[in-house]
Amino acid sequence: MEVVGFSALPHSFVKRARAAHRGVATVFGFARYLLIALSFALGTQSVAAESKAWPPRNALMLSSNVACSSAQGSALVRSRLRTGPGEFEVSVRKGKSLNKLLHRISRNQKKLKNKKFIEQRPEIRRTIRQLKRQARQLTSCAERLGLSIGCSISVQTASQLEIVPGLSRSVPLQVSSSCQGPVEFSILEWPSHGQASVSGAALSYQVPGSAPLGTDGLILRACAISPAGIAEGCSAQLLLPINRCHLEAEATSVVVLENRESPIELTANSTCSAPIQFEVVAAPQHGTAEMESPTVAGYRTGYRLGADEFYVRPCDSNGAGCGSAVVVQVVVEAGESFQGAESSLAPYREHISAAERAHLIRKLANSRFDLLSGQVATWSLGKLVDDLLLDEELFSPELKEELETVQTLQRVYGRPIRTEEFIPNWREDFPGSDDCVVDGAPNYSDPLCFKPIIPATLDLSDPAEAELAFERWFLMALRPWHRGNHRYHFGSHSLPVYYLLGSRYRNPLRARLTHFWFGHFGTSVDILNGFEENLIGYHIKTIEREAMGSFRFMMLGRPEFSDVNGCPPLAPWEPGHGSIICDAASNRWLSNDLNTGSNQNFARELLELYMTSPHDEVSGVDNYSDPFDIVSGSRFVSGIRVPLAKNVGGGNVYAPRFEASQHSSFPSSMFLNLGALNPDLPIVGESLQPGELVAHVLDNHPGVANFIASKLFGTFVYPDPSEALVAEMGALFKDLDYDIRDFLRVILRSEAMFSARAARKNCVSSPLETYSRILNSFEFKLMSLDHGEQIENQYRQVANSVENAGEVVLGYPTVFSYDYCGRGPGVDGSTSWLDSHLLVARVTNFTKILKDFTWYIRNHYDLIEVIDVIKRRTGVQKVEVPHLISFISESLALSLSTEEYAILEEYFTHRRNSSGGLIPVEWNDGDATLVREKMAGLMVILSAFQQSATH
Amino acid sequence: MGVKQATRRDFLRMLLGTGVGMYGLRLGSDVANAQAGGGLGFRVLVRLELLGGCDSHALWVPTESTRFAALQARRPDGMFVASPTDALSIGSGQPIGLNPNLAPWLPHLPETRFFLGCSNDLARGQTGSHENAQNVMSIGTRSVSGGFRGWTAAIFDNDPSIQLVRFLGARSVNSSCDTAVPRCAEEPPPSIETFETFRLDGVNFDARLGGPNNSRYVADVIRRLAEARMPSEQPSAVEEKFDAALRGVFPAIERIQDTLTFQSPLYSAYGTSRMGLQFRNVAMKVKEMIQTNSSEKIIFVVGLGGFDAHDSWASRTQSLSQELGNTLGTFMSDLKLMNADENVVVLTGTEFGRTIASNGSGTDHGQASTTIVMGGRVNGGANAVYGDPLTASQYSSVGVEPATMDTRGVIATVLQEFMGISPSAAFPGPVLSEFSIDDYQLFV
Repeated sequence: MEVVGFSALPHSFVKRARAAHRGVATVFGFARYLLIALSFALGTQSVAAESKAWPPRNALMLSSNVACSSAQGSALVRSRLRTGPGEFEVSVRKGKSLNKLLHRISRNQKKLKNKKFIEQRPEIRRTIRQLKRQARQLTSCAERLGLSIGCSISVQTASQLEIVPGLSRSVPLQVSSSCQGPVEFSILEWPSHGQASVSGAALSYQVPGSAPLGTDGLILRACAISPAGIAEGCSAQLLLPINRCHLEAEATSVVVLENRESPIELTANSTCSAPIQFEVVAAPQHGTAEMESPTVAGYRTGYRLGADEFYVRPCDSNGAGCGSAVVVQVVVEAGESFQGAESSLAPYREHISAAERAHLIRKLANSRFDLLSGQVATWSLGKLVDDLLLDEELFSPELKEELETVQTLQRVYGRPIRTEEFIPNWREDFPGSDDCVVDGAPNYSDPLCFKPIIPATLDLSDPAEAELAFERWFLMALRPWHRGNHRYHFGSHSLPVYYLLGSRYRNPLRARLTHFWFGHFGTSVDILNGFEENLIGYHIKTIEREAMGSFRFMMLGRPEFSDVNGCPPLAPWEPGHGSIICDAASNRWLSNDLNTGSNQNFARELLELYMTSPHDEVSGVDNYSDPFDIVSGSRFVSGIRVPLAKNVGGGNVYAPRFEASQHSSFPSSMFLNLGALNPDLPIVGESLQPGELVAHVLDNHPGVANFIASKLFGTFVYPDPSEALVAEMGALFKDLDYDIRDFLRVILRSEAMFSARAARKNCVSSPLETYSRILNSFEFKLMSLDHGEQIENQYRQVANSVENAGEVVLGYPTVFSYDYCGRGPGVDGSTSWLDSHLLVARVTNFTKILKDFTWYIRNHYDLIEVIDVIKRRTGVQKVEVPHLISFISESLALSLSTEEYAILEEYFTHRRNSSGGLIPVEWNDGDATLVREKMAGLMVILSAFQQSATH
Repeated sequence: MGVKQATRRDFLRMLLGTGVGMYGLRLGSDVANAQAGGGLGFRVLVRLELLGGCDSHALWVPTESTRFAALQARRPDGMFVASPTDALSIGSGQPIGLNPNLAPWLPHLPETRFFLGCSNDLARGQTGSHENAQNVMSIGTRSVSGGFRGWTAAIFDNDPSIQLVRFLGARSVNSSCDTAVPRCAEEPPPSIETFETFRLDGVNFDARLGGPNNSRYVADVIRRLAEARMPSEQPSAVEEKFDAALRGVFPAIERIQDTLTFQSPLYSAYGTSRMGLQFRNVAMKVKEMIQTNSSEKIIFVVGLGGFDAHDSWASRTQSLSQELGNTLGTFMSDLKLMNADENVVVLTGTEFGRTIASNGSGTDHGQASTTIVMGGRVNGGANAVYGDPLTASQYSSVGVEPATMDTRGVIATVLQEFMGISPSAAFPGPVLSEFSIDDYQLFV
């Protein structure tokens, strides 16, 4: 096709333009670049409005096969409606003269309207006539050719096209056409590199990566194609300047802290005109990275430390393209301690800090810092929780020496009656079953009755036998001294020592949990007399078995040991095979062993204390209807009896069982008003047995999981968690089918456990907890408690001291036991221990305990051994006063003020005389008298310290 | 035998007998407030909590034969305190008799009033859990979060002229003042086992551990550290409370140790029970106030637990009522010997009563119970019983003793007419409008 019209461009212009496109430095080319630059500045241009702009353009291109031709030839070039119908500005390409004429007409428009002016110029009149004639011819020709005379097309597009070599890019073309035919684009001038094409309403430009950078351009025009194939209404020529630019980013390397979003500033060089916008092109392997702003990447990581990397590339924000991707190298370092979110159960970091490890030990392990020795000090959180805190078989390796001491002493320790089923191998040592009490007093002279607790035959170098030896010693603490009759029975009144020993030498968390469940069920030994006290031993063993086990099995018993009502089989049964629902002590305590359906005591506590609380922890709705559900419940739980049976040793024991004849089978309804909690909850006119009721409540009452989970969390993490968190924990605990260890595994490793809130002291410790924590932190040798007589006497004295300090384990003042900080009865964050009497009493009674434990210092524990503990833990050769104070501070996570420091320093370097005057003494860690005096004083001082008396 | 000298009390009784009526009573009360105890200006209120839910019939039985028979039928296991013939007649014309185990109390019935059918919160009823009921028993305020502060603690917060001492065994809700009140934060009410044991060096080290000198030094170090303790940057509420409580201990120790030098006339007669020793301490404080011509107003809170007799009703009730009778009898006698009985009132309270019927060997949680007010100015004797015992048909048909009056009305009357404390101090805000204060003619 011959493009006739292009000849309307001055040939020299075309040459210069092309030369300029090729980079030939000509003046004109330079001007063109200026124009391009100007067009960049002005933004989108309107071709139609720039008809006089460079380059001069022909108005219309006609193909050679135009059938219509004027008298002057075939080169009709343009007819354009300018101002209205019938008025044409006609441009005819017929030699220069005509163009000049036209030009003149254009310049003399006003004059042409002056008839006088025209009449004075015949050549104009002639020309006008000629033009009019030609116009008519044009009109006629156009009509014949189907041309839309006077139509026009305008095209708008970007002010320039920027592109990064190696890419292709499209820019939209916005076309406005008044012509009838479809619009076609034609590229009149090609860029010097790359391929351009127009498809639809977009211009595509593809440029190879090898193309040089710099400016370029292309020229295009749009025309409508008439039905006869004639282009018409063509737009002005559109110059699209091109800038081949590039972007180049710099690789980045940063150090960030874990568990947070760290902003990383990215930098790049660019010759593109628009601002840079980075993109993440390859995600980090461990964390996540997202652009926070055009040049700042937000890198978020969990608790994984070490190297990570991701890739970014710089891009032109106007779409010119992107530079090459570069690496962002990240090194994640550990953050500060206690950064966990307080309401999150998500796993916290595994690499906990030393402060966090100490927090766990203080809070859960009653300050058993000796457990952190060796490799344990580097264990991850998961391993620490699984293999230390939740290892219920944990046995202190430090114990062997103490056991050997006890064994060497070969003391006569006495033989409590009815211990066969509790103490391993006891039966072999003491084949008789006589009561070793004569006239109300222990018969010490009877060799069958009193023998060493740890026989010389036990090989303590064998871990199994060492553990057996400890077990025998440990269980001695279950022997109470029963008030009033001096009979030796299992019971409660040595239980503080049982707790102290368990916390000191076995798993301290298990001891705490056992203590927790004792208080939860609140059974009291006080109403059990004489022989019946053995029942408390079974109660304790049931709770110990499930302290870290299953709340379901705690309530209902394990299927292998119990029937549907949680009762033991008729055959002799062993301690630890029981359940709460069929627990002899609990049933006796709550008079359910007398219940035939009318005694509400057990049913009330089952709903109010054991399984649910009066109101749901989350919704606040009643968990049961009082007294309606209590009355029904009392029928369902009736029938448990505690008859006499034989234990595994052949001795007598009260073995609880369900007796249908004592059970009320009166059909009853329960939970009728609580249907909203769970449609399966209501019991309508049924006759359930005790175990069936408990199983039904466990399976269907949402309040159980909420209550127990909230109480465990409140005790071990922080009290009064949010309702949302309780709901989440309740759902979790239920999903875990009330498995306590699995539940603890989640919460002890959770963010919440290591939140700032949990790190603070939120609970007042009971006296026993406080004492245990202090004794453990000083690695006190509790097995020293013997001075040649029967250990139960000393144990009882310790128990009395704890009792005088306000805490009677399994001898609670009310069914609520004490407030151990979990949610539940007595909800005041354990501040009931802040009773002024109790604050005083816990100090004075700790003095008494220290006296009891250190009575015979020659053979047993001597407080000067504390110095060795401090040396080992601090690494010093000689313990000076600053070391002592530092040891205290670190044990308690305590920062002392100058004044406090001075008070303690004064205490270690002075004594008081009887008139209250101070006498300077020189501290010497080898002065046994001084060390004993000051260590005892220090421990008592600590018992009143908020930091040791709260957790 | 000489002619008994007419006392101010006799004079006031005479006024009542001539029908001076309410105005005269109030006037008499005001006069009594000004002149009680022959010029002694102090006031002591002993709040005695009978914990566990005290059965009315642990204190008295209906002596009218048909009523007694009706009760007997509901408790075939013999769960009542006496036969009608054993019961010690109370007042005149009232068909109830005192539990004979309370015999030591008998001389003081002219100064004792029994309010029957008492509920701590009449509108809500009292059957329920111990926890809720114990809180309700002590209601002074209900916080927005649903917590409770006992009415005695509320008085402590609201009336700076009142001292409060809780003895161990009583519910802590009645001494848990509001730590937002400076007085409470700085020196909270002490809680004490007995005065004698309330000291930091109450147990001394033996000579191996430095002896008493070391114990005293340790006590002093604890005190100085408590006073020097700087709060941590972001202390928890518990940390703050602990520090405040410990600081508050020391001035209380000083005051109470001073009291130990005053022994009342019957000092040796109180026995060894905790309750006995605690009432002995109250008597010692009374003695101190007499000798120092004090005009203090003190509320003591004492607890006696064990009334939750779901089983073993008879044995429990026997021992508890004996302890109650012995202690209160000794206490009142001691006060009279000191001529201080008109300066002291004992006011009992319990969470709820118990079921009328036996559950086999005990009784379960009920509703109404009996409130007792005792003191030298109490209008007892012929007026010892306020309210009616259940009728025979009620004894036969109802499950629990229905509540007919709100105990808080009695408490408010004692506070206003004896202690000179506005009831609004004890029951601030809307709590005061929850009950009515009737004209009980409680004091002479």
